[in-house]
Amino acid sequence: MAENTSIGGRQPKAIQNALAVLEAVALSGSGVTAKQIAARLSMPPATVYRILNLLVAEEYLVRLPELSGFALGRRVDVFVDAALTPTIVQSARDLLEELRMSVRVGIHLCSCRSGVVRILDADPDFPPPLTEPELNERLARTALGDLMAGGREQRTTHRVADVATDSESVAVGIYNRDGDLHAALWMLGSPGGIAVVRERLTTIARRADDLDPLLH
Amino acid sequence: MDGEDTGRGRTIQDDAAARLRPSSPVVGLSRRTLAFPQVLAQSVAAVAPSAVMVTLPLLAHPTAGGATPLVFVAAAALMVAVASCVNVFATRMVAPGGLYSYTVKGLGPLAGLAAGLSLVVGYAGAAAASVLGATEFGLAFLGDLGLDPAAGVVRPLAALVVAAAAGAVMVRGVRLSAGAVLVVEALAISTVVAVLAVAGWTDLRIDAGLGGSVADGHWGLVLLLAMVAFVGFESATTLSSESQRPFALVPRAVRWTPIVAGVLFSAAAVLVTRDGIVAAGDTGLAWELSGGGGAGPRVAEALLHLGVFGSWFACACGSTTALTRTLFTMAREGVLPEALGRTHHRWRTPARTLVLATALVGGAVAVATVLGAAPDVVFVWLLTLSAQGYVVAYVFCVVAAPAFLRRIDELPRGGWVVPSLTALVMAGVVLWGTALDPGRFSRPAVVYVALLGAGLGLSLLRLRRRGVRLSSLGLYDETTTGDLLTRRRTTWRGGRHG
Repeated sequence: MAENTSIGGRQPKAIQNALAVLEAVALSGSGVTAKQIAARLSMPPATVYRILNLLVAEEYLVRLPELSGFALGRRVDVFVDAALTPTIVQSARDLLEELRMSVRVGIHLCSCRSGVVRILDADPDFPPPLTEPELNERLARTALGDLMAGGREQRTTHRVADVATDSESVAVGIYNRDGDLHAALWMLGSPGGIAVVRERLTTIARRADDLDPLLH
Repeated sequence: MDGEDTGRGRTIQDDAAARLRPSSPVVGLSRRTLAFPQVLAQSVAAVAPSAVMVTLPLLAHPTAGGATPLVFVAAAALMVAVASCVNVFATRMVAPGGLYSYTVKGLGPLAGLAAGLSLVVGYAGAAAASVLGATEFGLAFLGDLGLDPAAGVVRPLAALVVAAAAGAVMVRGVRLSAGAVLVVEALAISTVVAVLAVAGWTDLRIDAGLGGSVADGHWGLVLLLAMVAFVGFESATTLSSESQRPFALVPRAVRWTPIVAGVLFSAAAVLVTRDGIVAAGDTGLAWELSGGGGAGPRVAEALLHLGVFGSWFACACGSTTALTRTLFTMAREGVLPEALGRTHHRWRTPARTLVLATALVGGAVAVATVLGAAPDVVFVWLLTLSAQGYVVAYVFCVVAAPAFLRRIDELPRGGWVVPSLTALVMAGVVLWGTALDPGRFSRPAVVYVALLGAGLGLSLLRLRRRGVRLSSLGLYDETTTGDLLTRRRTTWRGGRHG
């Protein structure tokens, strides 16, 4: 039935209300209470309570320890990351340039946070064959996806024909001091080029470690 | 105006972030691992629906007659109301202490301790009754297979084996035990439903144990028993820390369990009210099936015994899991010895607490049977004790819900109506049922009150001697810095702070 698939009845209002509540928490800052949000939005308190509990259940919001105050939750990270235009400092660019000169494959610097890959600095000479959405859609079947799914011990991954036929990928993780993966070097090229990369993997992994402090 | 608002918000944000703990106070448990079916199984198993289905409708039938299904529908409605009060907390805090921690947050530490200890009696009593139930039905199943163990000698040993098996499953990780409970409970329910359905269509007759023990006309007692049939549905709250997306999954499990159980119980009651299918046996717990021809009744009887054995085993696991998570919380707060609050480094369960709890439960049942007490008498006694523990804890939690909402300034207009009515009805049913049948309830009630009083006195004494302030009770799995969107975590923004 059409009603089941389309947004009907009072649903548009409910969605608007939910977004308004989310926005109100962002505007008010951490610790804002349900009553304050209801007053700010001139919404019935019972509606606000229901929406807040839904947003907490979905982990977009969290309750602070005294249980009356709210703050933005970890899940909002995805939106924040998507909106960021990262600035890569010159020393990091130099390091990437040096790496790109040493092997004849495309070397792309990517951030890997909240399960999403963003291409921060694409190789100008060998542009990636996929757009970001295409890459994220097939992430689980790529070397980058293997790297993000793997544990902390697995610092490099390799896949044949993961994004294009006749090409291979190697992903090298970039970890912060706590050992969390936050970025990666994604190297993509012909089997011959990737063979050279794999021979020099120890050196490249060391350069990737050097990149970490430049990315904060 | 807007600018002023934002300005104040920023200060609050910094304060709020500074006050967050870096790690959870219940660290050590296997956090955020269970999916919805496993969380639901915890609640359903603690109710032990397949075992209840074939017991309580039978007890209600002499009094309620054709209205027996309605009695269970009414009890389900009451429990749905209790569930809504439990969910006031379950949607707002993740607490392995369950109703104990909830009551502390709503009514303060003293009332919370009373509710918590009452719940401990409830869970422990249910665990012991389940071990006994599993023992009896396990032995009955062995009898169906042609093995005839000399019950007098074997029974205490069997109780210890059941308790040890449950303990071994639970110690080895919450995923394993929740998964095992899910499979066993699903099989138990389908087996019992299938056998009952077959009995309904054919001319099989069931001679049920425990039947005939409620005389005609005891409406208060019948209502009390119908209410008691549902207890345990709240126990998913004790796995909230170990559940994925706890604010979504735990309330869903708590909301659905009384409904699922209500449907099963009412269906069983419809069957029971049909004449000639079920007759009440006098002694023992197990059932005998007769009628029909050939091997049919014997196979059906064996299946039924096996199904109910599974249900009691799952209930033993569910009740003990809930019991140990509550004890674990109390130990982390300092109410109980610190050793009970430790978790196994690999299995991530409160292993020591589990071993102690299963040993005590299994040991108590074994000792009772060694001393020669009739299993059905001990069983009813334990269930009554447990029911008193549960119901008192429910009343506390129901009253605590609006008080809590008021404290955090989220009480909707008229939000106290449902909790007040629920608490009144529950208290009324308990008083009516107990007054009508003082013999059955008074002796366990004396033990219950003595246990509660002793527990309360000892824990208060311990808290005072250790210098633990009462205000430090009510520990739960609160928001930590890692749950929050913070500027520190966003490395790609040049590390700017504030």
